[in-house]
Amino acid sequence: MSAAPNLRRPIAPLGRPVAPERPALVPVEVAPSRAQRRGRPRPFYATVTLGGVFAVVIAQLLLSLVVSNGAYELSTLASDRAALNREEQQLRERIDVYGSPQNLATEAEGLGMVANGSSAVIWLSNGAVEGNVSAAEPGSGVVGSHGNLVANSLLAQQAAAAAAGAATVTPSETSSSSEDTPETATAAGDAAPTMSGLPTPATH
Amino acid sequence: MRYPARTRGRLVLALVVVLALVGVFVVRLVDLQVVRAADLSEQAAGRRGVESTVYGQRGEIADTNGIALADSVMRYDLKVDPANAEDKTTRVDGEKIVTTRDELLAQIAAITGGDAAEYARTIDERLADDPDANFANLAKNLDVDAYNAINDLGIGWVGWDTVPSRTYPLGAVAGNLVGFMGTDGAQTGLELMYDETCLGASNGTETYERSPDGVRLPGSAVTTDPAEDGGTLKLTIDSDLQWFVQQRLSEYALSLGAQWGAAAVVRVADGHIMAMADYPSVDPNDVGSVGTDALGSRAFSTPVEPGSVMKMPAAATLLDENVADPYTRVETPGSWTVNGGTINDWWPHDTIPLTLTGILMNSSNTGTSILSDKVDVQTRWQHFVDFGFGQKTAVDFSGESAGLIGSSGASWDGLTKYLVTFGQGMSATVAQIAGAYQALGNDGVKMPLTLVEGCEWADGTVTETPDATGTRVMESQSSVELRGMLESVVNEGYASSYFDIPGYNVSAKTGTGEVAIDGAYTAERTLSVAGVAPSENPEYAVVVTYYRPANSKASSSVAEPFSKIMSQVLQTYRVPTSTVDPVGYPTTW
Repeated sequence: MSAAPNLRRPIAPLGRPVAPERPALVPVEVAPSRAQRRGRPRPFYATVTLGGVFAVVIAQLLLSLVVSNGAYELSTLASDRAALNREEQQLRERIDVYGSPQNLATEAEGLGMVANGSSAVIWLSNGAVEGNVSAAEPGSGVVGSHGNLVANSLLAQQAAAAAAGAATVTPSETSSSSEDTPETATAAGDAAPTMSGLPTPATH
Repeated sequence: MRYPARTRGRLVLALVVVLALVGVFVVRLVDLQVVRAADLSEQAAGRRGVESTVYGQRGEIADTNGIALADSVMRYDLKVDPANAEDKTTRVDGEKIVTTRDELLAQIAAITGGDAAEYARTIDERLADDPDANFANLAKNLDVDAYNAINDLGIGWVGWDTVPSRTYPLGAVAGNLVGFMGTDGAQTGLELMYDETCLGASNGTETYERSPDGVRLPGSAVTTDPAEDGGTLKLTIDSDLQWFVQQRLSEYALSLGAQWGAAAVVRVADGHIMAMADYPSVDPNDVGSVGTDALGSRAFSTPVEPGSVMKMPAAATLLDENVADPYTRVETPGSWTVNGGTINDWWPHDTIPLTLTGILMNSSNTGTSILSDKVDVQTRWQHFVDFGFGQKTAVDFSGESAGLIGSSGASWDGLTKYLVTFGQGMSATVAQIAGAYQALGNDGVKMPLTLVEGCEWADGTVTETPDATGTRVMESQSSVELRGMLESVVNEGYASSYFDIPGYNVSAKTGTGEVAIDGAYTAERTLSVAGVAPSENPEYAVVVTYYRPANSKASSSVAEPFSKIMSQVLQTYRVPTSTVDPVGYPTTW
């Protein structure tokens, strides 16, 4: 509404119109209309929205905590895996060297095995035996009187390391077998120490 | 519409606040992006992350059964921080114990087998050069045991460099074939031959961000360069048989006093090499322990004048050209003068009646020369070339020699054309002889001599597979007859008491080649025996050769190692024993 200047009304020194005297105002409650009621902002939705925002923030915080924890766990597991890989490689190397033909032949003959140079066959279809059937001579082997002539410096190194290890295992053997039953401890006490898993070969 | 004054004021206020905030952000943005940009980029570059090497693994060399002959392993170089190398102080039961730097070095030396005084010297020299030095190398190529032991000592100023390395678990078994690695890569043998096409690996790099306490930040790993592993090189060699052949070869080389020896075992059906042995052999783990001339494979690289083992392809020529058969009769003189030279048999005799079988059984040079005269030189030369002489074998081993057979039949002079029929005046490697006898054993069909089965990659593909096309170099009938004649060499010849392969018919030929030194033939000899078994249906060819044996000049001494090796081969591969009698062609008339 436009307030048209009424020059007949008294004007205050600063030019502000002074309201004419009115009767005392009585507070009247204004009931909101239906449209106004529907338009009013609801606290419920506000709570939900804000609550959701906080929940998201808290969830993010928790997740990043879990991820950081996981990172530490990953780091420990990775270094465990590296150590196990190193051990696996070392054991595999040892097995490969112990499995070399030089070692197998010398060890087999050290155990007293013999080789039969003559060939004979049995035909399973009719039981016929062909070829030269003769028993192996005692002491006949593949290695021969010169000993093994095909060098393997890794084998020599491992045998030396095993011999050195065997010397130190014997005194501590009785203390390290505390997890074993007493019977195995006493039985192993007089035999060659085998706590390391592979029997130590006598160096040739 | 116009808002009441109060509302307008609030609106203006809000606008002013918002604009102020925007202004602050704009100033900050300009500050970061424009004013301090270069400075911040530099800081960020410094903290981009840790780059770590992802090692590609060099391919394995494996025998035909998958047993590793050469394997890739990690070794560790020990390094120290000289500037911070100081005494260690620990508390045990409340008591302070000080371990001096030199005592710690002594502990390290006890593990590595090095010299503690030398370690101390290395550190002091480094510090003398540069008092802030952070790096000095103490020991190289330590294995996992040493790594764990030194870590257990708990010394703060040692560190490690990981070094991919090579190990040869079987030692000298096939050592001459496998080759070895040096400081700048593969040096010789299969390691060098297949370095680029199969075995070689390349390292990759991986970048990740790290927290101050050394933990990888999750999700920050970026592989900038993938590592590539090498493929597994699968050989035709059987490592157990290879050891046996090397062992026997070495034993007899010692008792014969030979300068060197070589032996080959070839499967006749496909030309695959089951064993190729050299004496002296080399352990690739310990290359420095033998002379440089033992580092390659003489079986491939060193040709010799083979002697009478060449009577086999010479006789094959006669049979193929239909100028002779096992019954052909020749009045064989003890010596034959022709074209200004004299050809002698190894034993002095008057003219005797021999069949071709008898000529081979007694290894008569004159008989072979007289019969060979019936075929023109070019045809004879061509037959020898067909058998593989004068060219490298299909293996093309590192340093392999093609031997000498002359450029054509016409290149043979009046005497050489007879000499070549008994293996003089030409040269061949043990590999070439093995290839020729493979053709004899395979019914006349020569297969390419093969050492490598293929290169197997992690994804299952196989590359470097060998050529498997055979060529017929001799009639099948000729092969049958020739094997029948060579049975007589084993059963009735002058070396028959030395051949001992019970249960099988064996076709073999002895050879005693004269060695020429400085252009003149000497009393030195190259002794060989080459043969196939079982004669009626051969499966394997074996060749054994000794160069300049001091203790024997007779090739019959090689019949014993040949027999042992052939017996072992036939037993290993479960070859059925012979059920037919030897052919027994007449040797005289």
